[in-house]
Amino acid sequence: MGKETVEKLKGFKGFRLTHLPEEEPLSPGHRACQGCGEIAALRMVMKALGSNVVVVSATGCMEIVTSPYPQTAWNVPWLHVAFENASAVVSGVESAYKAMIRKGKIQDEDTVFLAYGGDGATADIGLQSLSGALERGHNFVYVCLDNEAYMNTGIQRSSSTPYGAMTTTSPPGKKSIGQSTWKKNMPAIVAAHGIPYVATASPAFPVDLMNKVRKAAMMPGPAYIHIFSPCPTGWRASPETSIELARLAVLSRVFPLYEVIDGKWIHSRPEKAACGAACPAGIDIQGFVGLIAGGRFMDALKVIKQDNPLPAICGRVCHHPCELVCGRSHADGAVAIEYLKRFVADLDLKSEKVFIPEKKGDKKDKVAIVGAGPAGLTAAYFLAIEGYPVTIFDNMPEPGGGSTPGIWVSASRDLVDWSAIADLRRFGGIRIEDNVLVEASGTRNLTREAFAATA
Amino acid sequence: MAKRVGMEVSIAAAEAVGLADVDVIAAYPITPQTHIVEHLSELVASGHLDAEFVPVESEHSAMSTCVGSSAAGARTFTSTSSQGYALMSEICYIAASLRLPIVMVTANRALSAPISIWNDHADLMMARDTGWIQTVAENGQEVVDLIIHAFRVAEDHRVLLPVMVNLDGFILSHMIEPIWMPDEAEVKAYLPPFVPKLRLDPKSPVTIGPVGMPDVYTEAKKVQDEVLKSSRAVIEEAWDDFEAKFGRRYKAVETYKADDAETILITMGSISETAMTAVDAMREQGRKAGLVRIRLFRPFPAQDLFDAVKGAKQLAIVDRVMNLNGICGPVCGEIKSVLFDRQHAPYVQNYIAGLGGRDVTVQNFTEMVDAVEGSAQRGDPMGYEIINLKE
Repeated sequence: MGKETVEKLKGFKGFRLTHLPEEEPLSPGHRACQGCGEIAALRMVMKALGSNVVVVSATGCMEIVTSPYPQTAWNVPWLHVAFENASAVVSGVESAYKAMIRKGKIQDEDTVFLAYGGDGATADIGLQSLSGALERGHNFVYVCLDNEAYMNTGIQRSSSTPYGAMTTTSPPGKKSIGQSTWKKNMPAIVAAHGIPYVATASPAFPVDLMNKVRKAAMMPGPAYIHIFSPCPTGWRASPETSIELARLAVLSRVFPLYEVIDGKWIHSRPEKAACGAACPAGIDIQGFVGLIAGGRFMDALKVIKQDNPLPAICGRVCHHPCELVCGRSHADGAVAIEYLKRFVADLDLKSEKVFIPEKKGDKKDKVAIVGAGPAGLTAAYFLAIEGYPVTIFDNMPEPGGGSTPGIWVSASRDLVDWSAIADLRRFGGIRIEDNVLVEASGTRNLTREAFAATA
Repeated sequence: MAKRVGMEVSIAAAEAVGLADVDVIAAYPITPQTHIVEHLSELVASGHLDAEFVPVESEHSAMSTCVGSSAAGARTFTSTSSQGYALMSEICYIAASLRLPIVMVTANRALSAPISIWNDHADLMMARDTGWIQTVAENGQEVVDLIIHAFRVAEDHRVLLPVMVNLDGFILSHMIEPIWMPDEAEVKAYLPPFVPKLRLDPKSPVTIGPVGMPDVYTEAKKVQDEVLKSSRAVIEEAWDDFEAKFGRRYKAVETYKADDAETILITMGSISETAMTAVDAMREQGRKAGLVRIRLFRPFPAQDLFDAVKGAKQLAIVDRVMNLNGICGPVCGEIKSVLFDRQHAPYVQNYIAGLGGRDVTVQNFTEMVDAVEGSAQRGDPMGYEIINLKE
């Protein structure tokens, strides 16, 4: 991040849902369709920018629905010229302000210059004028309201339409699956111009969206925000599903939220999908499910074991919150994540050569772990990978901890020998002392016995 | 004090724009306009002109940037030619409809294909229905004067329309001519500062460029037509004041030895001076030939033209562009319409001359007069002819 950028962003604390600005530069009196994701996003953009702004609109839905003469929904100065040139027009507005301020004709009041357009106006017909304005470095914010097709003219495909989508000019048929090309990556194209700020946003995450817009306005030079804007009319979706669809697009990673600040790419949300974020063990679920889908079962196991050394047992007893939040549950049912995990774990246990991770090195400090329950075993596993010699003290005849009797009942007997134990026993550096009762006061004795740490 | 200088006309055009103290220039290079914008960027770079020079990535963006700049309240200039005009023409219609007083110099050049960088009036004619005021210069002095005049007319609150000043590419743009260059104070006395009637200002929000439903579109166009027509009075007023301040007189339609002429040549642009030489030569031979030159093409000076030609028996109308309609060139078409409305029917022949940079000579004009007089005598059907055509 450049020094100037850091300075600019320093004072910005962000918006809070409970204290959003009350002003509405874009008034509610417009003619957008019910459930329009675009107008919802634009309203948030304007709330974040406030009233000291000049707005330039490309031709499109947002221009039509807000400006049928003699009515206007705009409480701020607004200029519409044509479809492909909002970036060039805003270049002119910004240059005029610059010259007139310098020549003392008007006061400098830190006015923000905003240009917006749909995905067609941005990624197709307006790409050249956008690129020109970015390259010249005008101080403005460009917002692309991406509803993934030419909705205003009747749902024709654009270069921002996703692969396989049906539009009126990419109809599926005997010889076509619908849209035959992949969605153009506009934010990456914009970021390649080396401008100070690029971000993606979604009306389902309003505070994130507004924060990004505000940051974009604070940045010196050009800033670009690409907003995923569901169109119930074009997507043949119910108006009340717009925000939900916008949310799912983000959670399922179809439309990731991120910022590119001075060339540095930063995720706006946890890098995991909804399933992974819901997993108490933090497993990279999309990662291992993808590998299983590709037939790479042992690679999938390795991914699981990066975060959870007990997949066979967890594949039986976990209440799988991952499946509750799975995006597919709205389509054809959640992916059977728990069974998939159990499948690769069992495959591993039954194989002749069970997977044992590489030890990263040899550490001198010995570690004593009290209790061979799931927590103790997991700690032992990761410490052993790091190279620590680990001894587990447990007062039961078998490892497994207090949960063992329950697991005995619920899980298949054949595999109750604790998948992780099978691994751990083979893993050099782990010793389990069974039938040793360690009193709370006894841990001091353990350290005296030259253990560096106890847990 | 004005100074007499020997200067390339493009440089003089840029100097005139500089004297008008523009705030924003947005331009894209195209031959033969280049020297104008090169010199403007030099004026800005050297600090002689305090303006934003926006080096846009296309002519379409040039005009779009001008629209944004003018709507924000800045005095705004651009310049182009030919294909560049064709690319920006979409936005030229909008600039006029939004009543934005942008001034553009067009170094007239032929349109492709075949690609030609040389002069004719294809771009000028392409602009005729956009709602811009169009003036046409015949020499370097006129270019300078018409540019200063253009800002004054465009920004007048009774007008608020864009103005295109036309000069023939290469033939005029690249010529070094003697020019009286006014000084800053003189221009300031003639050209008041631009005070926008409406501008994009958060303190007083305005919606510019809204949707016009069928219930308002016709009225919007009617208003625009009325404003363009009524701009004529302001154009004249500005020329009157120009004469008072600078001593040079301009008229919408200029005549040369036309009062008693039986045959009148009608021209536009730099060929007019060649035509004058031809008229002089014919007058010396005792022939009653005269010349009418169109200086103001939009709004079209219909009555002035009628008054200038009504005494003549034959008209030889020169078009410097091919109008592919199979009837006649655009200037001829306009004039025929003027004559028809007034139920006046001299013998009219249309000559298409000087396409894509082909020279038009003194001899060509003499031949046109010979031809139109011969055809009229024989009673040949009226029509058009491309001169200097190789078989």
